[in-house]
Amino acid sequence: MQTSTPSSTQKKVVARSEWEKKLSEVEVNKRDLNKLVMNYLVIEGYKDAAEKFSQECGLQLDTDLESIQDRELILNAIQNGNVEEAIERVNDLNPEILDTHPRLYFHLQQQQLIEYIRQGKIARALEFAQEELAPRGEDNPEFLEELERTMTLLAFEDNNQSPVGDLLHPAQRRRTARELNAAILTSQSQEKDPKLPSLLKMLVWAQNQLDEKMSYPRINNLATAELVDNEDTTTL
Amino acid sequence: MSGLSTASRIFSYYPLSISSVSQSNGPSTRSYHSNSHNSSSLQSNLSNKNKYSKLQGPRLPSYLADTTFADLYAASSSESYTRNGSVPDSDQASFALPTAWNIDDKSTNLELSEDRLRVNYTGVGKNDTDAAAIRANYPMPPQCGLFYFEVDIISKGKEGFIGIGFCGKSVQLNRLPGWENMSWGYHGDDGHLFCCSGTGKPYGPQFTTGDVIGCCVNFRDGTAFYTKNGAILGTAFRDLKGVLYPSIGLRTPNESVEVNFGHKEFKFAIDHYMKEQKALQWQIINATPMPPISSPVMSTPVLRASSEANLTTTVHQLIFSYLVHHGFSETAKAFYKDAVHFLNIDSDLMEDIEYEQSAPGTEIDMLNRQRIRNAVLRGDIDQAIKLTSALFPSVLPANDDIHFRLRCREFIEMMGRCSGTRAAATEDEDDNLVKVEKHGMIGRPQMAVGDGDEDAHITPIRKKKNSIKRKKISYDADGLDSHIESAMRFGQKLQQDYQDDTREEIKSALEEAFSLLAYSDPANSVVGYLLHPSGREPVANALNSAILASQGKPAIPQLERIFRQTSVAVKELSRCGVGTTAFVNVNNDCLARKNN
Repeated sequence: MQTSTPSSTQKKVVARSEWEKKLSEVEVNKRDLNKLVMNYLVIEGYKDAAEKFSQECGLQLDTDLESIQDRELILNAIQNGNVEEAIERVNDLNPEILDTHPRLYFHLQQQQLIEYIRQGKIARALEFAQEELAPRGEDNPEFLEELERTMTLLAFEDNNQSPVGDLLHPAQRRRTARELNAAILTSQSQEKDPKLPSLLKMLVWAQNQLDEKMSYPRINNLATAELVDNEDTTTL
Repeated sequence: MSGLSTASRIFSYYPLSISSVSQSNGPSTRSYHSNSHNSSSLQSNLSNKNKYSKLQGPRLPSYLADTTFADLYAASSSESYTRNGSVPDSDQASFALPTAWNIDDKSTNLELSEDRLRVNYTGVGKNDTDAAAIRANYPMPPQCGLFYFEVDIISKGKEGFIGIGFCGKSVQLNRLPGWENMSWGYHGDDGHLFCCSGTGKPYGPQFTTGDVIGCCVNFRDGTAFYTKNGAILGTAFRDLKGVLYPSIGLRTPNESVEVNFGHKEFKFAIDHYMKEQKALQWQIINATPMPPISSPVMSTPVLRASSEANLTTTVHQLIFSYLVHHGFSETAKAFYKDAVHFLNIDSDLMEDIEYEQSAPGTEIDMLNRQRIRNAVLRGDIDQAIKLTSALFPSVLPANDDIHFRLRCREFIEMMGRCSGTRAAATEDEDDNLVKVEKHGMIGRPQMAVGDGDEDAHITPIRKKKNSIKRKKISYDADGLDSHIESAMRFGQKLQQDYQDDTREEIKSALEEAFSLLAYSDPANSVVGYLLHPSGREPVANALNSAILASQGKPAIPQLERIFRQTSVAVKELSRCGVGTTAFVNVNNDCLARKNN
């Protein structure tokens, strides 16, 4: 609901110099950014980096290193395809986590199934699916659908052709790892979402929205963060 | 700085509950004075001061405290109300909030209390043409995301024909809210809604004396809902647009209502509703697909999770470049190792980072920059200058200002090294005092030696000294004087090199540094802050940036540029009147300021 929006034909144009002045007026200091980085390292479980960063930039760690390391080991296990090890470690840490997160536990088992298929242990995969996953799918239609999707992996010889090939991509492991990480952090009453990804999301969203209102120098490549002149702004 | 004190005065009405926000919003060091300050600044504008002494000043309801709007509101009210306390003009007006009824925008059949919050019906109340409405002093700005107000039904009067809602600026005021085009209302006698029409439709319960009716316009989705005695009644209107003023209408004798625009607590938990709306907005933001990474790495089949993978990769690149930029080499190494380990399967992604960021020499440069930074941070400026000259020989000649700042800092560090011992000195050993003063250090006029140049540079110090009672000091025979001597020689050389420099910042920096000489115990003097090690960091950052720039690398780390761009983009969106921005706040939502 807009009140005084100029029509798109007369979009406001902000010159680069004016925009850069606005950028320079933003209040942010190095300590804020250090904290932003530390927040990511701690929540995502980069124990060594967090420890070194604490030493190099002088920020106190508000979590003990051991708890970061616990999570790091668990997450690494998943990243390396050792789901069994991850489950054992989580249960050592706090057996209630998996008990109280049935969806997470299902996803871990699904990940285990994916790993069996990846390793070509088809007989083991079928056995595991029938014994562990199928009974749970009966209770929950959503789980059943996920299970069926996973079993489709067996239907294609070339996974690049498979419509469910994404399950074999590292991003799938990462997704499972992230869900597990969040559950562990929540169980420890810690923040579970790092701020830095939110910052990037916010930038993408805000720039998309702002495109409808005005023409301004944009950041298109988030990694290089280069300010790209808009066509309209270069002519000024 | 004068603006700051004005701003803090203006914000005397800022509710205390937002103190956490003001803390995290950076620029504002707001103080909370007593209310009287603020009302007086507003009053001065009014013809009859006494009559309106209870008038509400600018104030932000607590549910808006965490929004982007809060920042803009802060900036705009301090601007607009400092100009003779006049009513904000066009641009600023868009950030003003309704705070009271408008005495100049009401039906003649209504009477307004002194504080302009209570409205009584004074007409004959025979038929619908006797209806009487009033608008608030400002429209609801869409940038605030949500606007909520409550109306106390003080008395239902004869019939209780009371309408509560909002309308456009030009809607006639001899009608109840909702009966006209651009007018929306909820009526107490029948509980019906009127949406730009004389015909109502059933909505909620009737309301009468003692009830509190709330009205909320949601600018995120263009809807409105009402509450009765703190309970939500469900969506009332959709597709709202235009400039809308809160409005109420009365129709029969003795009807009386009082509005709460947020100056006291609401019956309805609007803060909680605001939180829910924030969460919804963040769901939308989080669902925004990330742009693809502009390298060929992602040419693998389109993935369900590719947007997420892009995000993670980008975050890793930003963190790594940030660590490299600031020379946090140990962290950078550990992070690189961990990140590669963590992403071991798609090492192609990390190879991309490696290729771009860890080109041969990068790590050595990073270590060298860290050595230089550490030298500055521990106060060993001489070492930092030597290292910079040896490792990055083009930097200092090309950046005279940074070279100056380094030398100035070195002078300050030298003074700092003298400082502790100067204070401890006894008063008796005049020999040493003379010895020191011979070099113009303490600078008694008659003792100052040397040519006109030196006199010239000592002048500003003398001025300051005139007002200072100096006690006679002296120094141990061993060592101390050599510290001071060398500090002074260094200072004189610095003064000599820059005496013809007309740049204001150089002149004032020199003056500041030399003022340390005016005190027997500089560390505990009014300029003692100059000696504080925290002054090293900006110098270290400037030097680091200059070295990076000399290598064709960005002087500001990518991560910082991302933050700045985000902050400006969101603020601009809000300035354009986009209501969704109220539900986000870059400082609160995207920085981790709360911890530590």
